[in-house]
Amino acid sequence: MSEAFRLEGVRVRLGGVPVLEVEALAIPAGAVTLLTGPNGSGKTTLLRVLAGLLAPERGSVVHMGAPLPFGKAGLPHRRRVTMLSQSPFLFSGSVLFNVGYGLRARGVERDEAEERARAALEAAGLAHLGVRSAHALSGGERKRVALARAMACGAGTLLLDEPTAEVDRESAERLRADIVSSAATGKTLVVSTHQAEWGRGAAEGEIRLEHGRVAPSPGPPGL
Amino acid sequence: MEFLLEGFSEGLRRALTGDPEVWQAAWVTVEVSLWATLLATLLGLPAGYLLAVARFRGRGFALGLFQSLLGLPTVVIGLLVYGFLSRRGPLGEAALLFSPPAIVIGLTILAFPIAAVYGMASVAAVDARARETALTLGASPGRAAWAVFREARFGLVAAVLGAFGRVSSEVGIAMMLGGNIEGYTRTLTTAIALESMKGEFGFGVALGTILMAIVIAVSFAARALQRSS
Repeated sequence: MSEAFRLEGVRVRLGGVPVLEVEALAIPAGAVTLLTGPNGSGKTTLLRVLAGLLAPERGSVVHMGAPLPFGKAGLPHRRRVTMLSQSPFLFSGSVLFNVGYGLRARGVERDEAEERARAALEAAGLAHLGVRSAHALSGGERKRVALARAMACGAGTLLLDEPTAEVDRESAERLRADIVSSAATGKTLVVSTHQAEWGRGAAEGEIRLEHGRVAPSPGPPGL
Repeated sequence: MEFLLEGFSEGLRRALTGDPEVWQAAWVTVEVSLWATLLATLLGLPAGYLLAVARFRGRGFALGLFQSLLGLPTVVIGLLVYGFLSRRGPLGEAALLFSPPAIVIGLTILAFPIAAVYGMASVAAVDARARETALTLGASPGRAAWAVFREARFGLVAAVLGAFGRVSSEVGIAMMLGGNIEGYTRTLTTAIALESMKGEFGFGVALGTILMAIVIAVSFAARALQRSS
């Protein structure tokens, strides 16, 4: 199995405090990898580094064999890797506008973006929400719309930060089904959760973080 | 009181019957105010955005400076720009003094910190996830900035309207840099100052009413634009 990401000697400090220290880590491509660990263990920080949103203080991050660029040069990377945050933000406007945003950002014409956004909502079973204001959705709906938006933009890698946080059990199961179906299309998914049991049904590997470091590997991907 | 009412009704009559002196002053006011607001918006909002989202050395100083500039006396702006544009000044060859563009330059300097500081406050009030969400969905930094502006639109419109209100009601800069030339650089505010000095208080009040009507009309137009978008 090829590698989506390889990290070596990565250190991240926030406000002068070290929050992530990864000596070596590989994440496989085309698979669902679970990122587990208690709150404050560095899961979100690691995902933000992989997404190109947070530059490490030192160390190297390689994505699909090429060094990951940060800052302005990171635009091509951010078009290949999309992150869904724990509490996703939806822009003011309709659900359809939100789901089409990533496509418009990639230069897709308005009509085509709208058509593809509709198809993405249809595939996620959310077609009925298309015209609704994004700010009028329930917590579970927001998460599912945000996931549909992340999937619609066509990025090959999805980084999902605690997708089941603040959603009920039914929505969590729907989200897992969405994740499994997107994994079936060959996408690379890295899913952080502190509910390891929920994710194990969908994931092929697991990385556990503790105090910002990779804990002894419970699954195949960690080195 | 009677002379005030008489002057007011006379002023309104002249305005409504298309008195060229009144309408030219109103037109110059609208023209220089819109230009200055446009330029201050184009310069100030990006500066405000950078102050809100970027972390760079000297940011605190820049913010303090812009906030201080909010209280910059208009007569000082007029004096400085006058010095630059006067015949012996560094920009004297452009021969801009006592022309509408000279007023626009002064008013832009007056409105810039308003657009920058209130723009910054509006952007800072937007959820920080908006920019990061746009970036992770593949937006360029410019498009991400636009997404943030879109979320901050109510505050930004207020900032722009605040800048317009400030420049359209300003008198010192218009007087010093425009020279109050009838039909060319006379604005409603300089006309009001002139009429008051002549003892034509009522006419001054009528001109003031027209000025307020312009500010209110622009405010409602901006609100309508905001709703339609």
